[in-house]
Amino acid sequence: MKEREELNKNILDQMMSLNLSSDAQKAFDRFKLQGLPHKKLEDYKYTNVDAFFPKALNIKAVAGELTNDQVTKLARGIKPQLVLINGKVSNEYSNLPDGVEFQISDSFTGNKDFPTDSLEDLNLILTEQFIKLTIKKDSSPGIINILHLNTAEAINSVGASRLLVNIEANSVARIAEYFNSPDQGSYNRNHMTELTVAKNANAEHVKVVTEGAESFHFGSVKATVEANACLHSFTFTTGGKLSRNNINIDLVGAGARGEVNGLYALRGSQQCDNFSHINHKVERTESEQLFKAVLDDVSHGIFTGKIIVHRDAQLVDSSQLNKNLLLSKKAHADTRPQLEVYADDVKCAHGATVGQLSEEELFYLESRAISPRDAKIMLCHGFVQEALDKIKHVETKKYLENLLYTEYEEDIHQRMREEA
Amino acid sequence: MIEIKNLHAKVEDGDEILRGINLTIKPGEVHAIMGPNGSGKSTLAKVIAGHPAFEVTEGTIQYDVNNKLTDLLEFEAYERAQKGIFLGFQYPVEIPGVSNFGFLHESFNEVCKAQGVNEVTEEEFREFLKPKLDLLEMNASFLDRPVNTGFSGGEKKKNEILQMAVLNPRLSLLDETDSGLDIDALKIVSKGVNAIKNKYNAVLLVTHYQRLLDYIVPDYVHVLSNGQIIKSGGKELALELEEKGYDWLTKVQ
Repeated sequence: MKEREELNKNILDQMMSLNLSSDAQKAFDRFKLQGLPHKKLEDYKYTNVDAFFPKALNIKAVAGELTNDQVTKLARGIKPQLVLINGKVSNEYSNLPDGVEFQISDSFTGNKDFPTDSLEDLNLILTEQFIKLTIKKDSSPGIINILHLNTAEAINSVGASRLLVNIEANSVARIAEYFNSPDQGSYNRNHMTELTVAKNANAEHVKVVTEGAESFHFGSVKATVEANACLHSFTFTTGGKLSRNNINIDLVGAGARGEVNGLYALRGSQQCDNFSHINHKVERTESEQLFKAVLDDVSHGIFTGKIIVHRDAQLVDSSQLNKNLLLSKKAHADTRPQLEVYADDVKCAHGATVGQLSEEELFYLESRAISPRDAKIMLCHGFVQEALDKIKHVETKKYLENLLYTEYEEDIHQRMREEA
Repeated sequence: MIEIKNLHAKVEDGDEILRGINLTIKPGEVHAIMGPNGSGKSTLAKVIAGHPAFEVTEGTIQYDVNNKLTDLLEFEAYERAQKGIFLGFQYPVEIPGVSNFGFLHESFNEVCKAQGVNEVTEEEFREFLKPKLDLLEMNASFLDRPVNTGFSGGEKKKNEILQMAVLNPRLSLLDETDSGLDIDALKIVSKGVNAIKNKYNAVLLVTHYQRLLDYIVPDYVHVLSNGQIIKSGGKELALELEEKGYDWLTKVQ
């Protein structure tokens, strides 16, 4: 306890020198009261972030540059429309399509009604550039790939960034955010994305966390979805030592629909904590959720899915499923489906499974001349495909399939070769 | 082709199921194994195919590899499949997320690789599959569905015989291929098996009922009871069993 007090004091001391806006000051006051999240909080029951806020951590934005070659390499085949380096927009690579308006401001312009946890407060305090994209009414500008890159200077520092996307009525928005870094050193990223999806709009937001092996990724996606609009959210995590993905979707207009899906494939001692809230605030709103995990070695996957159906939100239709595939005896899955229903005429289904590869399925493939190693890979692919198929933007889906089937598996293949 | 001598097998940490099986199958032959529930028929097929749930405690299985009898028990299930042993499942396994086409293609190429033949591309394989789909009166849309997922009983069994047609095995072990089939599907499945059968390969049918044997005519019929073959004969033995049941044989023991 004493140690945490010291960590909090260190963070507060460093933040004292910052020049805060009134909203950031409020966040600072809340942080002062609460400090870093810890396991005694229900929402952080499985995740301790202390190790990623050591005394030596630099609590402020750092400058840094990447060469063209480095950016190309880190983009790994993605053509970015926007690149952020250490949380700041790099003008050189910005290439936003028609129908998208782009603004940077130095103060918070998003929704002030969202409840926040203290890492989200930290984001508001530390963010220097508030980026705002507007997808114009009736437009369909195509994919917007956003690359979030860190430089070597970001090691041992916490970098915050924030994106607000206003998706106007009747538009079609496809947004993918990629988080990557060239260095294996320990860095601490804190990024928030806020989405407002106006009437009849159709939006997809895909978040891809492939952070360095020693890093801490904290990310939060908060969205409001208005009448007859639809948001597809997908959270893909294979990187980071520890990652925490907060997802908060408010369905605020009749006919609003939220699809909140994800896939986390972990190995080594990685930990990923997916924490989602879906609020059905009004009647005739729908949500569908599928999170799948592939957990190897001593990795730890966590899923919390809270679905809240508010009073008078009748005729709500909601389903939720979390499926965990354990590839090793020491991998660990925690899953918490939570349902709070205050209306009486609703349809809600939820479930969770934790299991290993099926012996019968393996034997079936082996009896067809497929080696045990290839059979395992086929079954793992089959397992993750159901989740990946939820991604609407085809190129993004194909890209992630490829990413998963090469990088994540290369390690497993290597180990199988060693074992053989 | 295969010589089974004094084969004993048990479930891991369980009771002995096979208690001294002796069986020799030559190329071009069709053998039927019949017998009451729990007699060990399916276990025999699974043990030959190398199912890991069973342990061979005594006896040998010699299998002809390149004109040389080889100890089959030394090989893993996938190696046996590469050497031409095929198990048609009584309950084909559903594998969601894995496409039937991708599965068949990979399986076929594994056998090609093992037998020193060039692998085929997806396009070539699609062409190769066409006549085999026609043989089993299967629509090409089956290929793009996940393996056996949501297939009817008849579709699953046709899919098993499609795999048999693709892999062109030397020894096919068909475990209750007739169970769950209506008469039309039974005719199609039997037509498939008969078309694949030739003088170089052999078939072992495991079945409960004589019905299947009207369509796939065996050269030999064996009755398995309590883990042993208690009677062998020609195809007329099956008719006798149909008429009298198994009691007249098992009670003699």
